[in-house]
Amino acid sequence: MTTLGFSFQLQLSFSCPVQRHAFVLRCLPESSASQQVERADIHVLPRLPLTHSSDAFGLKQTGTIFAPHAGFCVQAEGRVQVAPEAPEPSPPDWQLGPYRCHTPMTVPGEALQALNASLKGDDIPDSVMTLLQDKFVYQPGVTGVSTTAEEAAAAMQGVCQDESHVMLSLLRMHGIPCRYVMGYMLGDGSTHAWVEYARDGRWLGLDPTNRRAVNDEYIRIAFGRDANDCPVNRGIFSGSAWQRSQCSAAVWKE
Amino acid sequence: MPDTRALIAHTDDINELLARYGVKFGIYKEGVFREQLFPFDAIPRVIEADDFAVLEKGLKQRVMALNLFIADIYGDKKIIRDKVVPEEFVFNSPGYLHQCEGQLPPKGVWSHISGIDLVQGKDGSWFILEDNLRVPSGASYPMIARELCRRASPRTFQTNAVADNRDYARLLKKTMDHVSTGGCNVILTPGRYNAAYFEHSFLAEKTGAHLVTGNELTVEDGYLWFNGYDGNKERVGTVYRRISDDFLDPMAFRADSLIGIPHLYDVFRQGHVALMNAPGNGVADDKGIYYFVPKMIRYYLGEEPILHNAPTYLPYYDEDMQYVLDKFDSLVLKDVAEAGGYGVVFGSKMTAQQKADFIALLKKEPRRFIAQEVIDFRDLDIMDQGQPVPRKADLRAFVLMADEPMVWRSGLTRFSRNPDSFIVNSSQGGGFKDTWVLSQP
Amino acid sequence: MGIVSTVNTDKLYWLGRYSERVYTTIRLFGESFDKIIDGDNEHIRLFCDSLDIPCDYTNPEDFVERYLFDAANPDSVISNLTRAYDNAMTLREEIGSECISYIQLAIYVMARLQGDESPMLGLQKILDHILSFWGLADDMIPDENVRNIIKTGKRVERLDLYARLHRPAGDIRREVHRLSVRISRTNLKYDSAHILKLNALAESDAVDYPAVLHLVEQLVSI
Repeated sequence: MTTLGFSFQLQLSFSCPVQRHAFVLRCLPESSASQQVERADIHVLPRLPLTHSSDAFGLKQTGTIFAPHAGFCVQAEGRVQVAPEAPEPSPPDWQLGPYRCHTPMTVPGEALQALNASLKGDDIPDSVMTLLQDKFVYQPGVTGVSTTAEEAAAAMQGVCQDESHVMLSLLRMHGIPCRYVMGYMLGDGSTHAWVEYARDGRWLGLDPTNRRAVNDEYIRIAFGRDANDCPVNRGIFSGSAWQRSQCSAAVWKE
Repeated sequence: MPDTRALIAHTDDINELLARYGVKFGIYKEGVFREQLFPFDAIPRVIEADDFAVLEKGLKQRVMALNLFIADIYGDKKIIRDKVVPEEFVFNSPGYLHQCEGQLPPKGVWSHISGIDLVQGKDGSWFILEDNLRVPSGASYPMIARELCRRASPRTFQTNAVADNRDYARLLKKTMDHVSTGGCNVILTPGRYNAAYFEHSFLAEKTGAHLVTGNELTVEDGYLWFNGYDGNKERVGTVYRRISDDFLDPMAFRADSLIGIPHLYDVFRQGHVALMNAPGNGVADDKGIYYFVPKMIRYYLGEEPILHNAPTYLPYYDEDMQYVLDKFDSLVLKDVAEAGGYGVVFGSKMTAQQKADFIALLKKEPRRFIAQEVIDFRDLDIMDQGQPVPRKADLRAFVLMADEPMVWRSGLTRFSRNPDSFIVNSSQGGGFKDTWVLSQP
Repeated sequence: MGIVSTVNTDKLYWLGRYSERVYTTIRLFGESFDKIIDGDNEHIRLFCDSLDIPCDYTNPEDFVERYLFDAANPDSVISNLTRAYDNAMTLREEIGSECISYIQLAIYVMARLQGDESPMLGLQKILDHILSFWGLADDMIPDENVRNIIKTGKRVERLDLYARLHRPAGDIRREVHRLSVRISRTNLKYDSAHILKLNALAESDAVDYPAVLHLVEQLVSI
């Protein structure tokens, strides 16, 4: 059992004031078998009461700022006890269909088919990890939020989101139910992404970017079939402004 | 057959009245929006009381099973555990929305208004063509047409015992009130440039609901509000939404939707407003899922289906693929992702090259298509320059779900204008008829 | 009944304004058209000036064709009628199918009329339909506020046109009075000081028309 502290900050600046700004934030962890949330706080500016709820993807905080505002700031922090040795139970196999089927982000094309053909070994998740370790280059700036697994596999470079998508696609090609996880990691200055796959009634975490199984340095925030299901912030507003966003996260051992 | 000569003599008058009341539908042609009158043919489709009794029972059964299926898919998924429906037909369907997992709509109703399309074979037997569980449209047309037919030829309705179909508004209001979480009813329209705008506005008038676009509603304090000009607001209990799932809430579905209401879906999930039909229903009206509906009826209700599907083959199954290849020329093939009469091709009408290309595609993406026998339709007569001529026609029956399913004692009968066409969709230039259900044998 | 959205409030008001604009401008057109028959083309210019609209019509045929039927001309009768229709057809649940049908009928008449050498005969039918619409709106719309918003739009437009036309003081006085009574029966937001000023202006026998016009245009903003 390890106790981790975390903080998260998101800053949006608009080129001119916007209004009717509706948002969904996913930046607080939820208690589960592998993590116990001791404390979690969130504040936003402009100040407004947030609605806390949960859905198919985890916890969320939602709200709408009706009045004009030129910036939006989110601050979250808290403390979590993590126990990766007690992974979260997964639903029975027949209920895992949504995680076995491809989404538009993970549908394989030629590049993924070729990658799949080059997998070696009987343990598929293991083989995928080895393959990505050997071939995938961590390279920020070459991909975007809408880059698909196939596009990332063709370039064999990208960031944690891309590497997770490639992994999801390869696992699903073998009928292994798996999901995209967004969260925080010790040593990562922003949000991080990794993969969980279901085996023997448990969700097992693999971090392809850091070439390791998920250990006691990870806090899980949200999950879905791919990154589109669980962005840290989703918003819409009235006003013809463009927005700049800055996001940072920190995790430390307590 | 009932005597309808007096009514038919007034065909032009009725069409003139329909024009007067703006009974139109919109279409986009080359990117330009145009409104068109929906041509009305006065010869009614007549369904005898005993024939309708069978239809009614069969439609209720089908809609009950479809509701149970949707609830199961977004819940326990027992039908998948028991291998009645393969999971790839469900979770790969564009109508399946993962957001809806675990959702419990008010009163457990998913498909409040179901539009079930049927055709009648030459021998009089009915076949289901497709189920429309998202935003089925069309009830307003026979509803207003009946009103005008009665005006034009009162005699006809004195001498024939026709079930009154103008109670659709009452059934619809009952359906809205049944699931309401408290507050007013609204009909949510994408706006006047939608093909079915007439219907949206007409149903609002007849049910006393507010007709609204997304920007007239807001989510505040966990509830949905209809905002008045003078600052008053009224809580909304039911949204009869005529916009598709994708556009309903940019926070939950398509982020680029400008016609939706941010956070609406959360309010629904909290049980603070009813959405009808419930989001996620599209999973059950997929053309691929259609094949499995008779199996659903047996699985959930333990009953034999009363109404039959058109004989359908799924190339996904090897056995069916073989049959489709053998009998290609006698089959109609449908792309499961398309709607509105598009993506439908007849094996017999393809050139050798088209056929070869299609078969290659079919083998590559077997899940994408279904194949059906071409049904020997019972044609219905329409008046064409004073003479009755036969045309292909279908029937959209409406089933509304309140505390129990209610089958509207009428329906939308559409016919193809072109004598060679099998496609009766109004967006492809057909017309419509009134549908009479006789109230006495 | 009860709550009316901002969008619908705006549409009701403009339905009133455009239906009145079509009605009064057709009547004015009829008066000018009668003089143009005798070959006095100067009346085309006088007509346009009185309504404060651009006058680029080259001859009587061009005037009749474009002032009545040119959908691209924002001041044409057809443009104003189309705007009335656009508002009406989205108000079905507020005012009812029967009311809307008269605006729809006027649209059909207008479409049939194009190219007709006796336009006044068809225009008379349009006037009949608009009068029926008003009559029915008065008779059948149960919500007093809804009914009065349409009528306020109509009164605002009438006064606006009369001020442009420099109608006699008595006419202006009557219209100001009718507007004052009508608007007070709506929930429209307006400056009551404007109404007082309008009434004061209407008392004078030498009406300050630009001042009336200015006030009436400022009166309602939804």
